[in-house]
Amino acid sequence: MSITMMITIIMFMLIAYFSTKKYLHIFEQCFLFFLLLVCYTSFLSIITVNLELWKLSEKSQHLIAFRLYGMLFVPITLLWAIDLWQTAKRSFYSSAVLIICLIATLFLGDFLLRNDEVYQYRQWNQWMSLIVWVITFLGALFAQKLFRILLRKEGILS
Amino acid sequence: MNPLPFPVDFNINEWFVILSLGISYIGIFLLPNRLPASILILIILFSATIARIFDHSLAGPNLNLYNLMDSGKYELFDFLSYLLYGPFAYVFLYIYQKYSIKGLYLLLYIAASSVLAVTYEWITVLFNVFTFEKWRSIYSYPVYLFVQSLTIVFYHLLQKHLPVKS
Repeated sequence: MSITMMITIIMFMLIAYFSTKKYLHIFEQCFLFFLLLVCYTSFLSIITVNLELWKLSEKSQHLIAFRLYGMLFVPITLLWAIDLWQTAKRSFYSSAVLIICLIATLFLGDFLLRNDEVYQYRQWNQWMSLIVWVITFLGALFAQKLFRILLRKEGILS
Repeated sequence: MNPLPFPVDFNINEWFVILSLGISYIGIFLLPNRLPASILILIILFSATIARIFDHSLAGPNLNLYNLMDSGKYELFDFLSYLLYGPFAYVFLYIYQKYSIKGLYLLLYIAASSVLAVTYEWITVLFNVFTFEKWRSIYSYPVYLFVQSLTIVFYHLLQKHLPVKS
């Protein structure tokens, strides 16, 4: 059930992402996706293997769902949010709605996996997850700004 | 508990990673500039991402086909080892672009570089960067064939979106 669920929501995210207008250059999108994937999967390894703050299920289908969550669901959600931020940031209302939708989507993915016992929190709670997502979003946004400066300097972006 | 363990003893695998990083990054900066810095960053990130995907899937809990560095934990030097793939991908693409390798020569080029990649991986096993549990070097060969082909596809995607210089 967890794999089906995770693949379904990932497919929804992918279809939605690729069918909406893009505000970031393809280079920025690639840069952000790779950065988010490496950083978030590293975070998951630290949390589950090093610190053991989350307890992972040992069932293989749960592990697959967990890997898909870390490698696709969270990076694509954050990437899409950063892309939409480029236009939403001009209005307080739009940016507030975007942030609320982003947090709701990430909480949904986390809730669905915990509900299906893919992983359980040990010495962790939702507020800590929220802090991690906010830091990751802001960090990725900052990295995107720096990369954009480089692209402009090279004449790839006007 | 340390979130990202630093090695207690700097032994042969840590020194191998440090030396390899030093030599490979100095090497790519000594090569004449053919690609913009943004493309170099994307290639390094792309290579690190592919390596991370495979390690997260195959070296993680339960499957555990191999381990990196000293333990099954995710160490600082595990993270640094992902930066090793970038220079090799850059040199691979540098030669591909410089000699405009096409047709059946491309097949030979990818096949030969995959052999070199497996050989380098075997050397990293000798220096305890990788410890194979249920994995063997020969299994890596088709993986490198796939990854290097994907690298060329990615390179062409980047080239397609570079502005044409008049």
